Amino acid sequence: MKAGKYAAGFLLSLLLTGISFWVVTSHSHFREFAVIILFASALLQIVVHLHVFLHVDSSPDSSWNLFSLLFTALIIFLMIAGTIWIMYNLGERLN
Amino acid sequence: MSSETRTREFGFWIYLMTDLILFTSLFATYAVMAREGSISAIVDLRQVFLETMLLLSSSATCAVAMVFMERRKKETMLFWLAATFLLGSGFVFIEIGEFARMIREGYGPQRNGLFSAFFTLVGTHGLHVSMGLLWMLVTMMQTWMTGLSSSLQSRMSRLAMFWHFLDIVWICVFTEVYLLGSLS
Amino acid sequence: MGKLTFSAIPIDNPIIMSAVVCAILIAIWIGHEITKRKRWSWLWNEWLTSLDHKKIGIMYVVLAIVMLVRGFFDAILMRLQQAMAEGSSHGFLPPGHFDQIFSAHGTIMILFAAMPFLVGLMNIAIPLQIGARDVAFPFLNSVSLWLTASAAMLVMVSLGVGDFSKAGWSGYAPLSELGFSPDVGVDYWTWALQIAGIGSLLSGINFLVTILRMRAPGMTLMRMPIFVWATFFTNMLMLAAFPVLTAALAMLSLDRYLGMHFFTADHGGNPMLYVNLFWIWGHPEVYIVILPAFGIFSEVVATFSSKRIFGYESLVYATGAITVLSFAVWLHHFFTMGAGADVNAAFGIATMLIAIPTGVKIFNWLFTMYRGRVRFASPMYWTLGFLTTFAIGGMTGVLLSLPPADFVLHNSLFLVAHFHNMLIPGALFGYFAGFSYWFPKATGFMLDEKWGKRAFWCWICGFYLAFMPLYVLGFLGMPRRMEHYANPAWQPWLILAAFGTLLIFFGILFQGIQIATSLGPKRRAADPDPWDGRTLEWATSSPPPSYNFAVLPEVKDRDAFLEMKRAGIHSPTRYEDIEIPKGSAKGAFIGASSFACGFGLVWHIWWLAAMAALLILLIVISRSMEEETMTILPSGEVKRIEEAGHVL
Repeated sequence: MKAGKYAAGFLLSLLLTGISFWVVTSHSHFREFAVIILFASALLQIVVHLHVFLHVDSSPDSSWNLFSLLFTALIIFLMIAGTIWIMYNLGERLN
Repeated sequence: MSSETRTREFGFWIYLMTDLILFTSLFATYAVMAREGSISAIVDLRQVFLETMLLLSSSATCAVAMVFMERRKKETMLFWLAATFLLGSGFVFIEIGEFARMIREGYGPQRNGLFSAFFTLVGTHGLHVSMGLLWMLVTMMQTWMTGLSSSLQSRMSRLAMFWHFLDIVWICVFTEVYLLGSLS
Repeated sequence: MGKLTFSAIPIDNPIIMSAVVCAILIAIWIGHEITKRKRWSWLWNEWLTSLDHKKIGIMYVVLAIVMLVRGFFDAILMRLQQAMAEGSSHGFLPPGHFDQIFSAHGTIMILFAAMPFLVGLMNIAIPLQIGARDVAFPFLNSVSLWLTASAAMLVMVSLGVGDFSKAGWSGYAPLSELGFSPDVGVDYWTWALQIAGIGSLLSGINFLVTILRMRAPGMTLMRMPIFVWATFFTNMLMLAAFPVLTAALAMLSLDRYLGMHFFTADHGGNPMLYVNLFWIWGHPEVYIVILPAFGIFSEVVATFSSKRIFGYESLVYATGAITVLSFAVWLHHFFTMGAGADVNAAFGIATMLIAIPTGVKIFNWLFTMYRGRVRFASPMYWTLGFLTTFAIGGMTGVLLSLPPADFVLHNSLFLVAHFHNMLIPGALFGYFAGFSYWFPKATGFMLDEKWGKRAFWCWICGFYLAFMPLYVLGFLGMPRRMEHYANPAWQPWLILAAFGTLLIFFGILFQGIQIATSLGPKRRAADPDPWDGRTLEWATSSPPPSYNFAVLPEVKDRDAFLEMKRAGIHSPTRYEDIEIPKGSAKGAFIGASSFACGFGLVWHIWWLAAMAALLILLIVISRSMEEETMTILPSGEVKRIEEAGHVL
């Protein structure tokens, strides 16, 4: 039961990793397309890992785990987006 | 699962969240530095792929070890944990080799801000993996000597959380640093 | 010995040397007193190695008070210097020393006075308020305490051995880089902050888990006292913000120790990135120190108005909104760094938004008092002083949130006046309110009201006298952090501000007298419930026994203890065995080793740093191998303690 879930998760991560590396090494795509594929497969793989190996789900047992993860994701978004916005803006105005 | 174990696991989960934010600062720093240059010339993607495979497989073997822990098969569990340890050590070994090669070729962390950020981000992940390996070694020895007590089981499951968490960070590392860096 | 030589001790500086000699004499006197009374083993066994959250809380507060006094002396020196150093007079402090004093003052007040004070009050009150017997991780709690204490020790040692940072409490790069700050000052600052930061992070984990997993049966989230909610959100802020500080300081140290180029002005370094990262932590930090105080005011207002808190839900949601918003305003600390109008406007608007939930809270407190029977005990004095004063500071804050206004006022004394106007009433008065509110609970003795009220009047009058002139000086164009100036128009205002500091000095003196009389021979024992309290901490004796509650309370209402009092309290018919944590010296050893590690790193004594780090690792491993960390208090013993009225 659990072992099957782990096996499926492992195969799925292998597949997603393969896609990421293939998109970059095959050099046959538009940059924007490749970037979108890269981010999508990374995000998907993170979700797979969280669900399969770290047992994050919507059960009441792990509701606070999920809440803290979502709060952290919000803070991470604010920090990354804010920092890139601010620093790239400053950089452009210096050039 | 006892209430105390769950409390400990939840506390450890919160710690992992804070560690994510530590990594976020390093990722944001790297993103800012990457505006000024690229590391694509010096990176060997085949090596990165190998590292990724090692770490992914170690996550799988670690999960298998947990399955055997729940079935209270001490020896089988230790076997899979040892496999995890070897795969993780392989990862660290390749990473140290990569760092040494880059420094030899003049692309060390003192070169410029971009390489400072590269070495610090990738190195912090590597340091976490190394600490995980040390933790694994201590726990394996304790299990070997005293058997699978409930406190050891609870510690083992936290170690597994740590290990899978480092895999997630690595997904971000190879995506942002290596693959995105090789695109342009 | 690395870079450490005897020349690191500033023998030629009479101000520093007299401070050092005073500190050493006080330490010798305390040691002598303890030896004379044969209290060393008591101190070690009952306090320093204790894992009891109430005792850890008291030790935190003691640390905070000691550091508050130290930081206050820095403030006196600055005010005296600025009152004197006009034109041909240069005062008594040379620039390098003045720079160290303002850097130490900011660092100490935020990280070693405010933080230990609020964590100490959390330790004393939170487990009691949620009806728990302990925190989730008692040993971790002791580790947090000793990490904080050893970091504070590192700052104190910098007084006598070498220099402290001259780069301000925020340590802006590239000034804090090796090229501009080659001495050990910045290293003292970074390692002290790193060690204290880890301590705060561990406390944050501990209390978040405690609140979420240890509440008494029946205490749903929406029945938690407001102070518990405030602590919950504060911990979320600590957990999300402190890792950024850790990362930023680690990068600064990598620049300084390994020649990297994160924040240097050359080789592709980006000093502005340091400023950005520092304030991603720095702004939430403001709320970390203020939110617990808001929680305390809420408890005090409800108790001393004998009324349920007005708009409980709105208070909770306002606190939550502040928590999230505080991560979206950090750029307002550097509007003038050169970002475009769009970036500045967005962060300016977010900053104005944060005033709304804060305003909501002010109305909550006002409406709680409205038509209540307000009892004017000293916790209420601090609360009322806060309400009036904080509103002024809030208004100047909204003014500063406008980027064009900030371009005129930034880096001036107006800014200094503004944030002292937020932090002294908003944080410190809150801690003083909490101190006088929970003092009877924590110590078992009433706090002297007469000296408390005298202290309050000195503080509040001193505050206005010391900081209102600073607003004026800001408008007159005086920049902050000046050790000398040539504008005679500024001097009268600075002399006035110095007198304000003198009044505050009397406030602190009176608080000292207050504590001494309250614990001295004429002390008065406190009832379990001296204020007619509403929450569970008043349901147990003063001071509470080590296990807090012989029988875990059953919570049926938001004002849990008030409801119990109305329903009638019966003493329990039977007692059970209670598991309590054994004391452990390992927390203190980890703290001592981190001090040694930090000291070694500051002075490049690599063998010391490596050995201390290894020692920490070994202590952690050995703790993980300990099996018997708990001890059982048999029911008979519990019964004996309960019937004896909890005399410890």
